[in-house]
Amino acid sequence: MKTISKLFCIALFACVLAVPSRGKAQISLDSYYNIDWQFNIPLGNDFSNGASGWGMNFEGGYYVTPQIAVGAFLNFHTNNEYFSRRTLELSNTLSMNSSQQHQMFTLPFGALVRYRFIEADLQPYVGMKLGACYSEFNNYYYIFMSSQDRWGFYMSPEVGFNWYPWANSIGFHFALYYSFATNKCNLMTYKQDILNSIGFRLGLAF
Amino acid sequence: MFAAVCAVLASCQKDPDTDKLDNHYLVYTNYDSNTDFKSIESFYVIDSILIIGNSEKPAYWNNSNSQKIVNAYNDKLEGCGYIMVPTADEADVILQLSYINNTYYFSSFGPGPWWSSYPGYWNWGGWGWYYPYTFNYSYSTGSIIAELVNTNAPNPQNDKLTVIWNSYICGLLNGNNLSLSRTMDAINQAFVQSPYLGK
Repeated sequence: MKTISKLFCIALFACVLAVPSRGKAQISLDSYYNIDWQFNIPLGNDFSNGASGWGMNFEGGYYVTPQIAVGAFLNFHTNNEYFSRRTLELSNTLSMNSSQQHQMFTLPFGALVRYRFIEADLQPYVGMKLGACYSEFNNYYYIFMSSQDRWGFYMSPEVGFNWYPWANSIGFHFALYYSFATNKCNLMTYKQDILNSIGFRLGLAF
Repeated sequence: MFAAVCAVLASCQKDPDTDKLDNHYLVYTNYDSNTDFKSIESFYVIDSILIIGNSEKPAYWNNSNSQKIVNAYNDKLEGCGYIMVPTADEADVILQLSYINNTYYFSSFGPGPWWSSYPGYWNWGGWGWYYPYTFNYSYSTGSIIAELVNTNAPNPQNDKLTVIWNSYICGLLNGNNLSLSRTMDAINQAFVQSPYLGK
């Protein structure tokens, strides 16, 4: 968490320094940038169902029309879940008894398209992100760890707004999202075919 | 550039709270699915525990604590309905116990004959023994390996005795000392998760 917080502070500090030099409410009227803290809630995930705020989102887009922007995004998130002591049947004859800590890390990135309804201080929008998703599934038990990493296809519709309350300054961003990824997990006795989640993002808009 | 960014961000994973883990013990058990455990009548538990250390010469643990561990296995096997006999010669199965004091001779705990790394491991009058099943465990110091060897069924092809059940329990150290109560809990768990043992 410290690492994420430090990263967020560095990004925020860099943006605060950069924005006044542009002399506009946005970096450019033709583009936007968002840096967000992210809260993610996995849905029906057997490996790790723990909601958490251990994630960030970075994205930017260029308005090819006054309403429609295309761009790129990258975000990452960690969801952990504790499993109390239990016996796992690792094969027909092999059993293991231990408590476990599951860690699921996802890092999707790719292209996005955004449609903003109005070009004003408050800019509500709908958007869609498409791309690839890298994921790691780690199972900690006693002093050992079993791990698996996978790639998948990623899709995430979202609604939200950019709000620029002051002239010549940064604004705020809020979004609700649903995400779907085809990453599969098959680690020990845990199997997951897709990753579904919902969440929200709260951050800065430029 | 992008790969570097991804690598940096991947390092931003939030590590789970491993303090929350119940580190008390970990128990693996495995068995030979071709063995009829109901047909076993008698057993013998060797009264000394082999210490696997960094010395080539085998050493044995034989004091009041090791006796409590041996007795725990005796009680559990009797609880399974098997009859304890006074000598190994009279027993259908023999339980051999080993304590990993040092992992110098362990490159891994399976698959394969990991025990051959240790020169002083159990060797029944030159017969030797083998596992009819494969496994792949992690290993650590402060662990006890229990192996139930079938004395009545030497493999006709290689004249080795068959290990028909084993347990591997670790996390038994409390600081530098073995926690007896934790060891007893782990031994009990090994039998709880082996319901096929018994008459």
